Amino acid sequence: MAEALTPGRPGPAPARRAAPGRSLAAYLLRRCGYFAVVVLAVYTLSFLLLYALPSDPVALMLERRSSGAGGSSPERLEALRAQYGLDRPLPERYAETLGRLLTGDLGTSFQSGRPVPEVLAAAAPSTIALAAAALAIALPLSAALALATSWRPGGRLHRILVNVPALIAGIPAFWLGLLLLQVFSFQLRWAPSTGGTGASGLALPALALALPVTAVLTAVLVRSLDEVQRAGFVELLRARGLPWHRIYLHHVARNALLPFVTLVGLTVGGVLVGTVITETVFARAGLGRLLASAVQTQDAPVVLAIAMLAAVVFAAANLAVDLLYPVLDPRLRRRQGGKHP
Amino acid sequence: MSTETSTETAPRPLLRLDGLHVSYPAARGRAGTAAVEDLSVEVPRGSTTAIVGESGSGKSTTLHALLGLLPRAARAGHRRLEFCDRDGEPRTVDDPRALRGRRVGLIPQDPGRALDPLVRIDGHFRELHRHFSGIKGREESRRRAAAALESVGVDRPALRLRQYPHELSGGLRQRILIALALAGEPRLLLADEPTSDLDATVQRRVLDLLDRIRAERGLSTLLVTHDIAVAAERADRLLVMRAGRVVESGPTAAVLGDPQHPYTRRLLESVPGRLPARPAPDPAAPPPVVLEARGLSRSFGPARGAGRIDAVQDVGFRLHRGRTLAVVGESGAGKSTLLRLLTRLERPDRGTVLLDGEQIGPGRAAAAAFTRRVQLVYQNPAGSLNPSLPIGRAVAEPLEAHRIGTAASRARRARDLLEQVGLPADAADRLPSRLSGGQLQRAAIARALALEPDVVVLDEPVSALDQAVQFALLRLLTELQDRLGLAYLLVSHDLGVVRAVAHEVLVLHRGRAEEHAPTEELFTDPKSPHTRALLEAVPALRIPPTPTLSERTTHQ
Amino acid sequence: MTTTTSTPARPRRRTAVPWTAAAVLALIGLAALAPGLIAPADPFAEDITARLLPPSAAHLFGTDELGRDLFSRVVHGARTSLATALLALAFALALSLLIGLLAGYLGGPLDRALMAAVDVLLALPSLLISLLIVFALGTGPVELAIAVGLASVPAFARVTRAEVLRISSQPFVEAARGYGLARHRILLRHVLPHARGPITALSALELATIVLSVSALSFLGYGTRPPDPEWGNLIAEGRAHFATAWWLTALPGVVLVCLVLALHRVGRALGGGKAGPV
Repeated sequence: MAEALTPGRPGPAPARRAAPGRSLAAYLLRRCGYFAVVVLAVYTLSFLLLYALPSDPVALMLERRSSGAGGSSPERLEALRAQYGLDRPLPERYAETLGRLLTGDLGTSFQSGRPVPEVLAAAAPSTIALAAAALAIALPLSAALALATSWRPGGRLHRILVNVPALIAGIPAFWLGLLLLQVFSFQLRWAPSTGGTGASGLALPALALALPVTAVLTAVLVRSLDEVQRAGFVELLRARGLPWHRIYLHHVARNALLPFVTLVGLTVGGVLVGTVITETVFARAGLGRLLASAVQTQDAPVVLAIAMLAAVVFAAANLAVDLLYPVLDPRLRRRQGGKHP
Repeated sequence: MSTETSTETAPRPLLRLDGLHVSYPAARGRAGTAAVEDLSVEVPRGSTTAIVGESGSGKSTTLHALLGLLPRAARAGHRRLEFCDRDGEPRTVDDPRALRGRRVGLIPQDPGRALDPLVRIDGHFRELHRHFSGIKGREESRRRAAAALESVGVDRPALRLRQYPHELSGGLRQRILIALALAGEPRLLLADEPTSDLDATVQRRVLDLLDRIRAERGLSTLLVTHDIAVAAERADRLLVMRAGRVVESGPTAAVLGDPQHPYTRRLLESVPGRLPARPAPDPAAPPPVVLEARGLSRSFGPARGAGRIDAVQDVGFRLHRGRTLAVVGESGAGKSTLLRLLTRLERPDRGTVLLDGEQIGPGRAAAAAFTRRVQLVYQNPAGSLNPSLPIGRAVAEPLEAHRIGTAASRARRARDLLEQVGLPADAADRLPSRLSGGQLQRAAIARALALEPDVVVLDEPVSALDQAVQFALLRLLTELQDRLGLAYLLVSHDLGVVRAVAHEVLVLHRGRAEEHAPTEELFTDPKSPHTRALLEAVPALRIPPTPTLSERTTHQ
Repeated sequence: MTTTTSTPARPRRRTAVPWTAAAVLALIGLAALAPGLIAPADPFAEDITARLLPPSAAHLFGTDELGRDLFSRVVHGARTSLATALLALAFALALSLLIGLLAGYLGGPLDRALMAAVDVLLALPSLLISLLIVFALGTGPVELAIAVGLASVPAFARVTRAEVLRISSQPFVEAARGYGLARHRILLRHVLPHARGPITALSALELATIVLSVSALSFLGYGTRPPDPEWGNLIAEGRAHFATAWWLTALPGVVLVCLVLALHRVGRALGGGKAGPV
């Protein structure tokens, strides 16, 4: 996520922000097609990384499991491999797993033997709550910070605030979480330290997750606001005597929010992935921590399922943003017949 | 400093500004600069005053200072600022911001991004109505807005109000901007460089509109421009600015007819029209054709339907040795594309380019041979030279590319070339950053001459330069042509330049060759309506002592 | 619109030299190369009598649960942390430069294909890609470097390509094509020299991000094994005594933050992210 923070560095998404072209319907169709392509590509990448390497981590995993039930004799290993379908050629497994995924069959966890959907379902609610809370903090906070920073470019407030996002982004997320725990939980005792449930237990982790994301969003929005203020129409509005607060909020902010919306799609991704660290630090049971441990224990089906889930969520968020864009920006609503003379 | 040539007996001026000064204090690594020093100007009622100056003269800064629109870093102040309100009594104005909207309206230079793209036109008006007149109702606002649009000549106002800025053409947008500037019912209009490089016909219509509105409503206009011809045509009074100071001011006719200050005189003398016109081609024995285009066509975008751009359609011409053919046309007429087709940076969809009557064969050798005979000079001199390469190396690089000579001989040739274009020999060791715009363009020309081409294609070669520099460069180009027998293909939007250096003119309109005639013939007796419109759009600089056309042509 | 004047251009504005940031980098670099100079104490020496002591004159950063001097451990840990990060940067640079140069300079269908692939990868956050690679390769510092380096490629390649495109679209590059200079020579003489500066600056900024990713993954346990005093490891180890010994988690983190901010500052000062003179 911090990549987008470096000043002047374009966010990865803007490349797609092209005008619809011939018609709105074609644009939508293209975006949906893109969605499918991304999900498929992620599946392919994940499958290859998880199953295709010669070191055969799966064998190690199976060995560990099977050692409790009769030792790791070669026959036992073969039997287990056959059971999980791992003795078949790669392309066949690729297609078959894909087919099963599409029908909702996510397989069985190597680690626990339970069906993957069950494992995910147990962990999901906590993560969703955390992510939602983090977004609920990050979005308004970054908007407010950015608006305050750019109100008077070159002014004192701007000079002070403009460096704050970079400062926060330089702090590792896990360390920030620990710091928050230390200060608010242990020293001030405002919030429970670990395993807390409900709103009070959510506050600190959500904040820890939200802050790095806020930093990136604020930086992008500040850049956007500063850039819009340099546009010709802003000077003209001032020349006509309109009050600055009206110009800033009604004209500048609205124009600056457009690229901001692009980034919201990525923010959802960043938040979900950030849960890997935050849940570990705050010892919360969730998809993030599940993913971390599944990587440790080489539990391929679980990792694949979470990776696919993540890909679908990110791609869906970006698709939603793409669909929303023409609504927000009239320049993208190309009518039939093109411009009026 | 100012030379008033008429006395003030008329009623009090609408605007009176005394002793404006604007400076930018020293910042990190940059010395302080004074952008405007001790400027005083009076704008009489019901008239147009023009401030003329080259880039960096401070004219735009003055305009911004009048409305308090300078950047935060600027330090500005004035001795006295007075404005006459409706009742005719001058009032002292302490803060220029008080002038905004209700007393002074601003019309921008570039209508491109001058309107909030997310707001419909009626929204733009409604906001101003609410601010100036407290009108809250949509119906009332729309009525007023429609009336305003009509008064500036916008067709179908009801439709336009519902549209977004990007759906409207540049000309329409500029009219709407004028209507918006008038929303506060100001008495003075500020026009910032209203003549842009392109679309001369549109700009002329806009200037005409401004004149009409001014006359109808009894307003005054303060016009800022670098183009002295525009000022001559439109303004009653003229101020000439240079390096932040007013060097001369007075009624237009007086300043132009009898300039007192040497700078003013130099400005008037370096108008391209002062160059001797090129001799008309002798119809009996035309020089051989060196470059010929036949039926060139190039389109972009999808094969059919909306979105397809026919940039160049079926264009053909013949370029003779030692002659200049100018290609003119509105923006989007296809000039740049044509240039790229001729220099083989793009391939045509149809048509051929012939060099000395022969088609260019396929393959690298043929392409290399072609580049040796046809060279290109770009519009932006600073951009066309590698900033880390000394000028000498840059000029010799074409020789290096074609493996001609040794390093030593190439360096010698580079020095020769620099001398030919009027640069000192020691410029060869300097980096581009040490040379001025005019010097850089000379270097670019030297580089173009390195391979001893037969044809030099010039893409707006002087438009990025100040007027006096333009003049010198054009003179250099004509000298080189006469000396070396070069053929030029020149693209320019500036018809004054065209008239000064071209033997023949090709007019492009929407990708098609509209008219092709010897220069004088085109200017005095244009055949096509588009050509006529183009010519009429050019402001004419009528300076009394200029030798007449017939006098000039008889010299040759 | 006339913009150039007839007077020579003034010398370019100098950005302030970031002395503090450079000093921090120098110090940490020294710690990585010659840790003994800064912290003579043995980072592995255990002393049961001096367990969990807060920072003092004797132990600048305090001691951990085995009585080891934390300051010494942090200083010696700089080597692993920096080495892993630099290795990751090397991977990222090599691939990104290749992709960025090819796509940006050659353009055409190659560019479109490469960018399509990159865009798809950009749809995933880099941490997820790193985790997948760690799954495939296993844990350890080299594997971690590969994981983080490869995951950085999509974004870095895009930025590199943008820089190359910006330089290639300058008129002087096209002019060179116009007078017949061979493509590879244009690349070598006109494009690459101007790309060096911006790419160095971008690398500094990227290194800052990589340091963060490496430490995060180490914290999660995918890096070196204890007792190697890598900074992420140190913080993870310190968690066990979080409530009582705050210095175990706080101080290594402070050093980490200083490194990241210093890299960021230097990268910006070199002109990272802004259009350079060309």
